[in-house]
Amino acid sequence: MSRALRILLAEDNPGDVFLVREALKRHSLEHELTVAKDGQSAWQLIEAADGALDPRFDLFLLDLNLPVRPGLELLGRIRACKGDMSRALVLILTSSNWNHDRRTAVRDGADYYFLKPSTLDAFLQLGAIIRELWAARCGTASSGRLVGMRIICDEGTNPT
Amino acid sequence: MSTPWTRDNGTVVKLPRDRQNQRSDDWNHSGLRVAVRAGDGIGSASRANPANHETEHAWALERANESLRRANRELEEFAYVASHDFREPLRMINIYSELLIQECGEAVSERAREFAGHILSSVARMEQLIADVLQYSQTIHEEPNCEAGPVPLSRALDQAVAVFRDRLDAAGAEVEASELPVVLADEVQMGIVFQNLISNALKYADPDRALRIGVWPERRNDVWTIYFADNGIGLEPQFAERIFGLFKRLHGRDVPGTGLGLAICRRIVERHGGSIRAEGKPGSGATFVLSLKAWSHHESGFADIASRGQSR
Repeated sequence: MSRALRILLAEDNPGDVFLVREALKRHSLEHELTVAKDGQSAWQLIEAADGALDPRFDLFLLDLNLPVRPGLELLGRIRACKGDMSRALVLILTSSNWNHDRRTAVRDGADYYFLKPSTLDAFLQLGAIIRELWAARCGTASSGRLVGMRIICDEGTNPT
Repeated sequence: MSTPWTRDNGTVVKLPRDRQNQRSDDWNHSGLRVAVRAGDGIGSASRANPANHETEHAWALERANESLRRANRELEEFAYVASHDFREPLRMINIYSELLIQECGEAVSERAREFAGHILSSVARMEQLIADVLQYSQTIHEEPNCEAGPVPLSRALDQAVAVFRDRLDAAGAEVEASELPVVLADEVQMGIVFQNLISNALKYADPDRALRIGVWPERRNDVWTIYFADNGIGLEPQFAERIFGLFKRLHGRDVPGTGLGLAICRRIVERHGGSIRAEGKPGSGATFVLSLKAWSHHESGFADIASRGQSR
């Protein structure tokens, strides 16, 4: 990766914003992070970036349960972009283990469904996941770990 | 399955068990009172205008059913919110307690570590409480699903034993079960009953002897009685009823548990039209006695029925 990974994080919980920063830092990912605290400001950032020759974001981290506009609406907006940004990596970051949410996210084109874990180490793994997904996207995956890695993470055990 | 009341035309209105004992006056909002009134007056009203009467019934029943469907939907939504939103703050408490300790590095004192331990174990307890309350609310509101046909209770027991295999082995415990009958029941829910009974036996095992659990059936007329006995610390007979109450426990924090397991057992068994009680003496183990309606009138030979159950 020659340049910093440009990330838009849509997350209203400051506790989770800190943890995402920490995960990126601990996995020494070179990145530029923009944080939107609600769905509307994220929406505006996506609108402003849509159609630009050099899209402003390479990767989106979307919470599902956001104020004003839910994460799935943002996912739909990203996929409807006119330019390259429509193909950006999108990770859903949520504490919902509801199968309905999982299925809808997959159907609407999310690349990864990250169920927010309740232990520190597991949360920090997010950094490794982002690194792998980005390497695969750039065709520079060296470890080959992603080859066997399911892009959409494992099914939960919850009933619908 | 309980059928609180049945109309002449065979239409059945199923009510949540906890509402069955309410007076019909309590049901103003659901329209059910209309149905009950109409039923009461069946002698005169139906003779006067049978067609009109039937329409009124159909309408009232439909309203009552719609109201129940809405209540169930609302409960589902509540259960989702409870499992998701109630756990969110716990997740934060857990992670940030870990971070606090990590940030303090070597400087963290033994006392601070102990405090963090209290925080983390309280979070675990709260998570268990939420899970148990959810399971309890589901057993209140979900009719047992018996549509899959009669199920061999032995299979429900085996599955429950499998869930606890590691803990049973670690405790050096043995489960000796005779073949149990096949009954018309919700297999998942009966599995939950056995899981809670095993969990209970593990919690109240006598530290001076290896835990042994015996399970055997007995048939009397149309009723199967299942005995679930352990050689644990037992209980005072005067508390044998109390342990089925919500959040009721006979021991302090040193024995884990939320006090909901046996309440869940009773709910499930009663919703199957059965009963459960406890017997025991301090120091000589406890025996849980479940009574369930027999599925068929065959006196013997539940093997043929069992094979049918197995083939599902």
